[in-house]
Amino acid sequence: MESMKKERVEYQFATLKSQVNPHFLFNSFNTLIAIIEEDKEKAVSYVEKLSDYFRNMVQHREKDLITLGEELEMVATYYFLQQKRFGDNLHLQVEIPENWKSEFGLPPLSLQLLIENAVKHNAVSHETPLTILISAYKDDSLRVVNNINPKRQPEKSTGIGLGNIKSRIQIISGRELKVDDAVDGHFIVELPLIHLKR
Amino acid sequence: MKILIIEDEKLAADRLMKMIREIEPTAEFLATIVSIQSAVEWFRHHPDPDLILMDIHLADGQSFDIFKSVKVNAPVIFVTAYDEHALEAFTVNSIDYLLKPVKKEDLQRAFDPQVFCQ
Repeated sequence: MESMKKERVEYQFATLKSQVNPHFLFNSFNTLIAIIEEDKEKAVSYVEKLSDYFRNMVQHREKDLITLGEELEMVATYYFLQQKRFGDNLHLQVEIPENWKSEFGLPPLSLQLLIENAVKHNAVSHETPLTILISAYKDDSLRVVNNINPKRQPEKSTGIGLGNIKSRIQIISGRELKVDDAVDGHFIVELPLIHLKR
Repeated sequence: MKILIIEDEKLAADRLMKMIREIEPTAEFLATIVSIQSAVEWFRHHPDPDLILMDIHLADGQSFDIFKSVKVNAPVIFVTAYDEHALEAFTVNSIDYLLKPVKKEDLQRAFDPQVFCQ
């Protein structure tokens, strides 16, 4: 039974990763054209980041586990690209001790998907800025907290993203990803990490 | 020609205005609006513009919601990154539907006077 469940989760994850988000892709091209006309050098660094993003996606999806440092780099690249679109209306803050980045690991794209979810499901505007905080929690977990800015018409949610991260964490660490969406207008996720060195 | 831009990304809005100025030198931009809520407010307090360019995905939801709250008579050109709303767009007074990245020749076509006569 356990192995069947694992197979199903892996299949789900493979499908998830193979889906390039078309909104993200075309919006990025649109932003890129605007930057090209404005500033050639900025446009070059934008394309470099865009290619980093897709290369990381392709490389990391082959693995079961990557270091927290590698995952945070992906998140930083994604943030760079999204900030060109949203400007100061999107804030990401990372408060993690330097040594955690090599000492801990996690299933690839798990943190990344949490951040993408936050951007997808919340309004991001001048009146309603979105702030995401990633911080070290207890001895071996991360906490991802964002303010909730409800949209009038919520994005269609498949629930596969969050459900899949939960299953992969459960299989790989035996621990549970905890979600709390009713804390004082904030959405809080507790993501268990895996010790790489002992 | 009085034009209203409804688009939540500054870079995208700037680029649209730049292209429109090249196509239609008489263009006068009334405002750039970033959310459904502020669009509804704007329409309540201003006469209809001559033309509206409207992104479908706005900060607080989909721009079709604007038409549920307020009557808009001006022609609309919709702009979106991903083609999944074309049918819905044609239930309101749209004259064209452009995909991002917006191409100048497509925008030019949308500004063709014949389109307005229809």
